[in-house]
Amino acid sequence: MADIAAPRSTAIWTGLYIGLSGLIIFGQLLPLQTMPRTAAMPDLILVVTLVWVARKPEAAPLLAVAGVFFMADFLFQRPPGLMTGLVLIGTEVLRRRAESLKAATFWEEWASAAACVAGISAAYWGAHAVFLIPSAEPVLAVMQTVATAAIYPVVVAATWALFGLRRPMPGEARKGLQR
Amino acid sequence: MARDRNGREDFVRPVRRLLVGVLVLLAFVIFLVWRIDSPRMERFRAAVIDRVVPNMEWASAPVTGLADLVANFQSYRRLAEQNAELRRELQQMKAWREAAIQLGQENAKLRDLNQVRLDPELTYITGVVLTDSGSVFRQSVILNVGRRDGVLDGWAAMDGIGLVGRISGLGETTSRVILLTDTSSKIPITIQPSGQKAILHGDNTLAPPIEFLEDPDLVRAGDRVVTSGDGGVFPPDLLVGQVVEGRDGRLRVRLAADYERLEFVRVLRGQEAERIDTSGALIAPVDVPVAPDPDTEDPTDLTAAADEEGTDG
Repeated sequence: MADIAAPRSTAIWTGLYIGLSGLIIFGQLLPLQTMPRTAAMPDLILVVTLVWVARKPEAAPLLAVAGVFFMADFLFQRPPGLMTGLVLIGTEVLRRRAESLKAATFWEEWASAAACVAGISAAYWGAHAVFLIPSAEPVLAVMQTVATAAIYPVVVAATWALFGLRRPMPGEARKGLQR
Repeated sequence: MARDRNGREDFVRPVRRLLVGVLVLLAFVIFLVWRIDSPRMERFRAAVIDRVVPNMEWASAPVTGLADLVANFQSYRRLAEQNAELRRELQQMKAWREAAIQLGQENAKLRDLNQVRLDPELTYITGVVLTDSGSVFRQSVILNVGRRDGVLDGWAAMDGIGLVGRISGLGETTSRVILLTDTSSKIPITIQPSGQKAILHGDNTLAPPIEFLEDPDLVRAGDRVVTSGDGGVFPPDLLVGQVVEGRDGRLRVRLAADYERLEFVRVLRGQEAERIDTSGALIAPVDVPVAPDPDTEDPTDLTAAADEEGTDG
């Protein structure tokens, strides 16, 4: 599926990433939840981004990731730019590992994604503490981090089943470039 | 970014690294600017929301409808039970209604005797809730009224019964209401009947705690909590809720507004807060107000008399 015409299919995957992120933002905003919730939902946009970066790094370009998170920062009433910057650093770290992840087991992939989530989240809430931004109790933040890391395999399975997003086998990724 | 790639990749890599650096730096600079000059950035945020959120309206009706359907379906199962309960409540309400009518008449009579004039400026604009904050960590809603409708930052928002929050962030056609449950919401309150003043500080739970209370012994669970109007933030005497004792032993407020069904919100037109510009006005009014009250003497006469005394002596 991804082998037919590399640049074009990459664009499709990028479009899919942006569309999916838009849909998640939309879905999170829409149903009215005006009661304070006691349980935190996983940060789905972050998971989807990590899945894309780990499995198809070329389809999640920097500018797309930055744009999606910047928009989310604004719409979700988060401090603008903070999450964007941290996610860019996190995905860059993961991207650098993506090549070696091709040969790795799924457990290793999950572990590096989870480490990425934990790092981003720690830095995000750390910045809240340093810059004295009023925030909710840390229980929720921890809950969200754990949930986000835990849902990674589910999103991997879902994107594989729905769109056929899978890890390229070692050597397979070259095909598009060698023509 | 493997090492075994051809020359083109090696040429691309530093450029790419530079781009990452620039983007990350830009993001953090925006964050810092937000932290330093929050109002300007929030205005920008309001403009973005103003662009994006009204576009969602076409889809929000079916999605909200679907969510309601599920919620309703769950409540159908308890229909008979609810019906009996409602009938019982209706009976009680009839008695209350009679009492309320009588009290209303008495109140009107007393007001007439006192010649009380209720503030005519306390009118409101009703807005429909478009979306929530979309995050677990922030409690706010976006209304479909904005600058175009004359809404201003800082105005109070109520549902039919109690205070909901305050306007913070204005777009042309949308505005954000920071709910009382948000962690950045702090409003001055008075606790009736003891009349003590305190601050209601949201903490992301449905019952925000009361802070800076001078004498907690005077406050009991069930006391009414209203806005105090201190600092000109809100008009005074808007109902906020009732005092309850939290599970952690702190005094909290059970909010009167129905946060579960926040569909229509009234935005109260705030009065212009009185500003003291000159120091002279602190000691005595600059121009003596002429009170058209026949019982007291005309103040102009008094000043005239004083002037005469001054020239005599």
